[in-house]
Amino acid sequence: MKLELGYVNIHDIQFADQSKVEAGVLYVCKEDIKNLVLEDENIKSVELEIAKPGDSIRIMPVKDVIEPRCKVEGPGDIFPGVISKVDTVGSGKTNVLRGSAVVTTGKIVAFQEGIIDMSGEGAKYTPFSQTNNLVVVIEPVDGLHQHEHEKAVRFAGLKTAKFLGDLAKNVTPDETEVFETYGVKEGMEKMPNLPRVAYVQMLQSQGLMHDTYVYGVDAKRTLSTIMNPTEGMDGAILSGNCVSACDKNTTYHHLNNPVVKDLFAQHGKTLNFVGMILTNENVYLADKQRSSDWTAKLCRWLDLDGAVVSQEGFGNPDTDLIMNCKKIEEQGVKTVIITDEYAGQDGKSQSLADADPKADAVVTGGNANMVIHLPKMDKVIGYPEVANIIAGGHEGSLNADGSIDAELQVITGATNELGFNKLSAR
Amino acid sequence: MADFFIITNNEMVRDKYASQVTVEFHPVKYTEIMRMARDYIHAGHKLLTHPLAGSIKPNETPYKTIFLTKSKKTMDSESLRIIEECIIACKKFGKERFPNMPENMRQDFRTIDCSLCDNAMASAMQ
Amino acid sequence: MSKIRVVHYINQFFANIGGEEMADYKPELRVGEVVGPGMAFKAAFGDEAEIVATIVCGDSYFGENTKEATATIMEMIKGQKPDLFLAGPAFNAGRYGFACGNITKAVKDELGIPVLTGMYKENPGADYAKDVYIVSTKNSAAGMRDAVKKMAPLALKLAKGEEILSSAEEGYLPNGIRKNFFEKERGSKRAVDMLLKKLAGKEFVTEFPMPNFDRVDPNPAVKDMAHATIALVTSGGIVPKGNPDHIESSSASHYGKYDIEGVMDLTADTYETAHGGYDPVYANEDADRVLPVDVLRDLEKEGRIGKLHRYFYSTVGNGTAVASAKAFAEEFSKELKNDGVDAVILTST
Repeated sequence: MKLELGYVNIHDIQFADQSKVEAGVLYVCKEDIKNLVLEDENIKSVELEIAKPGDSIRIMPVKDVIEPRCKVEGPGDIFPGVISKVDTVGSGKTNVLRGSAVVTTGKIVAFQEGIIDMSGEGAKYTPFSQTNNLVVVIEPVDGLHQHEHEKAVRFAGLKTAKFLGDLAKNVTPDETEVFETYGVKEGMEKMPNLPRVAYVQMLQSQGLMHDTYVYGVDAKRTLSTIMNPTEGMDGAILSGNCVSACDKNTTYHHLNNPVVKDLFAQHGKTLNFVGMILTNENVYLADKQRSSDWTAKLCRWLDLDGAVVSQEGFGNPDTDLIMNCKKIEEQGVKTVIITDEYAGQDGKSQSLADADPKADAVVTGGNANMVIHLPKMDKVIGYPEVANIIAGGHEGSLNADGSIDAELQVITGATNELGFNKLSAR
Repeated sequence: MADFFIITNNEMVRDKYASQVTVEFHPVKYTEIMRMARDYIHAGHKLLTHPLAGSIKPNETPYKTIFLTKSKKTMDSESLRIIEECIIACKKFGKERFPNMPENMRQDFRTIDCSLCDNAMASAMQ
Repeated sequence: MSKIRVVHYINQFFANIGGEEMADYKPELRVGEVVGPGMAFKAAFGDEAEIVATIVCGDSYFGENTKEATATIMEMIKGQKPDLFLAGPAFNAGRYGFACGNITKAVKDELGIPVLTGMYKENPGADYAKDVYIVSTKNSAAGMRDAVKKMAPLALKLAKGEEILSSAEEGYLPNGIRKNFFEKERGSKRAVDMLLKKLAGKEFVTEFPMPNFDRVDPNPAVKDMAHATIALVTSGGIVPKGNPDHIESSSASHYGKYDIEGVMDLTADTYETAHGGYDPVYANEDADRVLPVDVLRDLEKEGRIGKLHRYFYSTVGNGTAVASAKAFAEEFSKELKNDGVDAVILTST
């Protein structure tokens, strides 16, 4: 399967009378987005804000971050099975509004998390301080149940991103990049001497605010499966995960999966990137066993030499991660796992809730318990009062001067377990 | 009759499932539910759900629901290992972050815990 | 500002006194002298610090007379009023590494001044990495230049009380305290690079070493309990009242062996716990709660076990080094075996 990504570099975002992409600027007509979002009768009102790199702006609580993309050529459309028809994506041409993002914020539950600071200390820890963001602040109709509320916010973000992405349909990209994977036999013939490597991506799949969707299917009711890595670039995997801000994967992360990118960078040179295995992280132990058994079986069946395994979330996925690692290694397939740590504020506690000697090659996204001071920002988009009830914070987190003392876990994407960041720990 | 029971400190879980399965409700702290589960494991019950289900940190949500087998066998060492790791993991988070939690926030935590429980039920009833 | 005062500890070999044949060399204080590797440190410190004295001690002497040697060296150091104590580097020399680790820890604990040593990661003395900063060096003295290059700046930082960054940045052996820092490459790239090394059979370094697993497979079950001799061993610190062997309440350096011939029950008047890591009230009220002599006497009477072994062994598990615990067990396991003990009940707290 072959996909060409066309990067349309966005260096600015502005409100305007007409929505368009022109000379690297994303112009957004507020009415267009409002009309689109308010199609959902569960949404009472929507506010739009702009947050650019370097602004003295704090966005909180962040639900999802999405990169606008559009299909230029080839079957299917962006976000298949959810916003578009369920056709297989991942081939042809896709345009990417690189440097822009849609950020959704909403108060789904009283307990909140997810901070993006566009400048200052906090900005160092989130990749979304570097994107030109359109923030969509969503107010639901009164009395809307949490499940429907979460869904309304999720869809509002995806629809907005799809709308903005489509603005670049006829724009000539600044740069293009081609990604191609082969069938098993074809790949072996093309790269007979290279080690066969796959990427095992674990998807959060536990319940309300802990879900991930693959072509629209709730990941918790799936068996481990095989996917072309390019399918993810067209939005085959979507985040419905609003918990544990630092190590949840936003839709932006799924679209720009760094493991996929870095394996492609070596594809045909030092390794043969065979494909992707998707597996879940359920609450039920027998489900964990079944999913990891299937993952290991698929690794063997693909005749792999090695696999990179990435985790999502805190606590019980440590068990899935270790099960996957152990079982894949037992198939004779070498693994590297990517995780993050909860080593306590002093860094002295046991980092993971599970362990095994077979997990001898670990990459870490850092200690999420590290305490960080976030200075006051001139403007807060979203719901500033939630700082006092934010994950990783505590009563009194929000200081009188508007600054926040909390653990790194409050920051969206700070200790990402796809290895999106440079942050690490020793 | 399914071979499992639930221990929980979440009244929403009790109210939803007590008519279908055995629900042991204890109005105790999160860590106490963990400890009770450990005691059941010592007595030979097997763990069916991961004690750290959900990504919400142990010092944030007050609610915890754990599924165990009704039947007893010799102690399952894997269950014991998991619960012990989880108890250690809880300890490192320290004291409750929101001791004066408003009722609407409690309700949300109950809802999320109940949703995790719904998924476990779907698997347990298979 | 006055220069930082440094006392430097080295062994007989690096002091050019001799090799194995001179390893019994007793501690010697050389005030105002810079010896051996000290020259390289002196150069690296420049104007910021000076080595005001060098202490030389034979590795065998230190290893065989640890307590005495430590006391002597401690007095020598005190007299120099240093701001920093530096030992080694020891590279892969095992006894030298032990001495460097041991003496730096003692100085840190007793004098409260910053300390630093250096050695190869597989040196047995590297066990002290959780107690003191140990710079990771190569496995032979050929790595001196590299070792000094890493040790000197870290020593100055320690002496000035500056923030110490992660082990990966500063070059010390991981001490179990996790510190965040920014790597040069993102995590996914590091993962792919690590996998390529692992696939090629090359050396790679995990960013998170799994906790140490020392799992011991259980022995087969004792078939004939009715004729078996059972011993009690505890890390719960149960000792005769008054703690005659002065077992430490934490980080125990030794264990005790106690005769319970004729003892049917441990009482508040006769036994207590030395353990400082748990509430001692219930153990002191009735030490059988930790070391169940009473129950075993019952079993003995009922004929369900052959007999309770005459001695029990006890130490305090509270923060005691795994290496120490292993060493204790190696010693008394032999005794237990020689005494014909069939099984041991090991109680913890």
